[in-house]
Amino acid sequence: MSSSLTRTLAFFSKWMAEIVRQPALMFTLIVGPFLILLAFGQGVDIGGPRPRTIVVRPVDAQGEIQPLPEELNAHIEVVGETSDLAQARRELEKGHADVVAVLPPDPIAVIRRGEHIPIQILTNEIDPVTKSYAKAYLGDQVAELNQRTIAKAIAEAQASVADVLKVLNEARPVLNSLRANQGNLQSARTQVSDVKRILEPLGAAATAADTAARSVKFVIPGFGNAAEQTKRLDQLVKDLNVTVTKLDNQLNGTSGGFSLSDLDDINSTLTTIEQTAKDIQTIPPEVLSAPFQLRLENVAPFVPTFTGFYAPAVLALLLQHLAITLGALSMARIRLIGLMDLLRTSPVRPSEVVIGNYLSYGTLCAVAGAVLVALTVVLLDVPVFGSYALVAVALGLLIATALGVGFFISMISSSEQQAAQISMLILLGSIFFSGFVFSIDRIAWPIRAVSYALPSTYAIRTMQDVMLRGTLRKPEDLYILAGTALFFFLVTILLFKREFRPE
Amino acid sequence: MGIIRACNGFADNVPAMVSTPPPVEDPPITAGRTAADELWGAPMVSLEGVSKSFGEHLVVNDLSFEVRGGQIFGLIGPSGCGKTTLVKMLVGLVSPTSGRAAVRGVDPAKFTARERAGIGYAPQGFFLYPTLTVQENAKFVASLYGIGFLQRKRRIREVLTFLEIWDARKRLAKNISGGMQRRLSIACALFHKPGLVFVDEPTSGLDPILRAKVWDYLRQLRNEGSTVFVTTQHIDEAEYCDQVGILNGGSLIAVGTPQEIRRSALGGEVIAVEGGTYTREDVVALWELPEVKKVDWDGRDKLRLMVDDAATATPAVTEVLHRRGTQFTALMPYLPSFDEVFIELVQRP
Repeated sequence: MSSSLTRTLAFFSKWMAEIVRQPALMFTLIVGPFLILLAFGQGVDIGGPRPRTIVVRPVDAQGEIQPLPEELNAHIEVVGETSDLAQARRELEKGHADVVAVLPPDPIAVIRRGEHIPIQILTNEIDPVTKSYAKAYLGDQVAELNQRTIAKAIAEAQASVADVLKVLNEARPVLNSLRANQGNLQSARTQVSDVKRILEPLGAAATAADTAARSVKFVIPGFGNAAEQTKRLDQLVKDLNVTVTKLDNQLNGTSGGFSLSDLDDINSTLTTIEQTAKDIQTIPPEVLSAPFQLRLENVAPFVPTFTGFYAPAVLALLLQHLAITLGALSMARIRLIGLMDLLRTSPVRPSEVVIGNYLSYGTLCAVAGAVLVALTVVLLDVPVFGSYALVAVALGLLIATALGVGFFISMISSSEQQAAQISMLILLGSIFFSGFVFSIDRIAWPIRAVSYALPSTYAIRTMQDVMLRGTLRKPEDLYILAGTALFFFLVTILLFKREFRPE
Repeated sequence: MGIIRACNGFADNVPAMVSTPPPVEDPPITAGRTAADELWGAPMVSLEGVSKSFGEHLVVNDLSFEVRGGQIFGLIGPSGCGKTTLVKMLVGLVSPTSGRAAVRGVDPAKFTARERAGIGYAPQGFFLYPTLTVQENAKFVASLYGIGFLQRKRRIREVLTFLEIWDARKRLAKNISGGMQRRLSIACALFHKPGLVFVDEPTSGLDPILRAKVWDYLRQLRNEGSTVFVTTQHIDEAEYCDQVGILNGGSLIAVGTPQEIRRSALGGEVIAVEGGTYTREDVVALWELPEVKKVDWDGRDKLRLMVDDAATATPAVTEVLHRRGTQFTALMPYLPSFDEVFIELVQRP
């Protein structure tokens, strides 16, 4: 038993001797990752690009398109305005601008033709992420422009409603006069004809108001207040026209008279129309054009800074890479210097070699992890709302798993270079697939299987939950890490046993 | 091609030539076995028809011999003749393709930890951590053999002192000389006091003084009771061994004591006739003696006679030369170098 312990600890003592002699190595292993963490947190601007934009406005432009310049200024930087599209293109190609926005010459005429107003955006971007961002961002700006256009249309509709009221005001004295002169057929005919003439624009105004309101309804399903009212207004005006036409027909017909009840109907309808028109005018066009307003409420217990959010993930990634690389290179080095023959001819058992290496490199990674967590908390102000013990367990399991993966890599690699390359590939895979850059939900199957094969996926989720939420929402992540660690430990021992067999 | 042509390179100063390398005192012969054999009742190493191929390439071909305890057994042969492969088979690193090998009665491929603890192995080349000191490497290897802290400290000091590298114990292994690295490798095979030590090419790349020193250490190990199985490509180092196996092209071409091999290679003993000038008639007269099997004469003053037994042939040769009035100063046994012996053995049909 004591001999076995001595043999196992041989690797630990050897490693201690190496570490003590190489303080620069410790510095590189611990301070290096922290500096990367610090630089990442402080140096990366997550606010997104503020594209340098050249606006191309035709010389003979009709109408104005003003996409909220005071608000857009925070998002784009207008570096020039020109009417020469070719020159703008050249500037774009030279990299003097990120975006060229080409405004149409006569937007109003385009709308009148029932077509979309084209706003052509030119970019010269090879980065697909930036391109996607620009597309979404500029799409937002176009939506903003559309909203302003809708608001303008609604304002015009409301102006039409004002016209309705004006018409009603003109029509009422004529109708009153009609009632008063009901015995004078000729006069009645003239007055009804006047009413018809006065009410003629009413139909167009009501239809315009209804059309504008319908567009709002189309944009916002379920929002029916203004739309229903303008529809009703339109219908009322149509009914009114029917009644007035009936009255006209009666006056010009064989009976030569008209019913007072028809006049009452007309008056009643006019009153209803008036009320409806006033109702429509009470809703501001800004509300109609953008009825929903985002009021975001985050129920998370804590909203970290950008650095705070990414720090646990970076920490997990760095530790995983450290452990995998150390594990992969340690065994490869044993092979490289020919030490394997010494081990195979000595009484040391494969399990003792493996456990000894786990102890050595596990201790190193654990020390690095503890120092990194401390520096992250103290210097970067990243909180740990959950239990430090859980953080330790998560990091311990991550280190054990990553070391196992590293040892496995070393056993299947034929050289140090190959082991280092595979370690680097795993780091790259972890950056892209472990939820560090993109949420795992955005990764399609079967590629998502890669995410679930990476220890960092579980460690990042656990670390972020424990440190920033103060709770472990997915305890199964720890079980998966523990199971993977055990699996790779056993596989490493098996592979080492195979390595110990005579050739 | 016989000894006559093989002896063409003889130096003028025969005794000086014979003294390189220095002769080793033979162990006393007791009923065909050395006294050291008695240290062990059974053979330490035995091979029966052992062959090893790597793919199509036959590296070791049908080897059969035994090594008994308390000896230095030298496996000698040129580079690439299969020495290292054979040692690796004997320490359990490589399995024979056919045949049976046993070390201390056990198939090396089936060594347990306990059996491995009984042997030492110093592989060819330097295999330790270059960034650790001599002492740290020693500590690491001693720990691998399960030697406890206190015993380890004492034993490391003993072995490093024995191999004269104690003073360099604090130097990084990468910064010590090649000779020291070889001695450190040997030291690492000795901390656990093995009864059987395999040392692969311990003198490779060393200067003659260091080579002699290494052999001193190996002899001392033998004298302390260990069995040493050593390989070398320096043919002349056969002189340092109690038993020698000569390997060429994967096959064993001779095995026995150095004396037995020399006699076997030359077909007898050689007498050098010193201090005279000889004629063709002298040579013919000597050739006609029944005790003389071959004569090597350079046409002037170098004359070597191969005989079955130098002790019985010397009087007859002396009488012929006196009768013919030939002047000479001495008749003495001549020991050809093992390089010559090796060439003779290799060139045999």
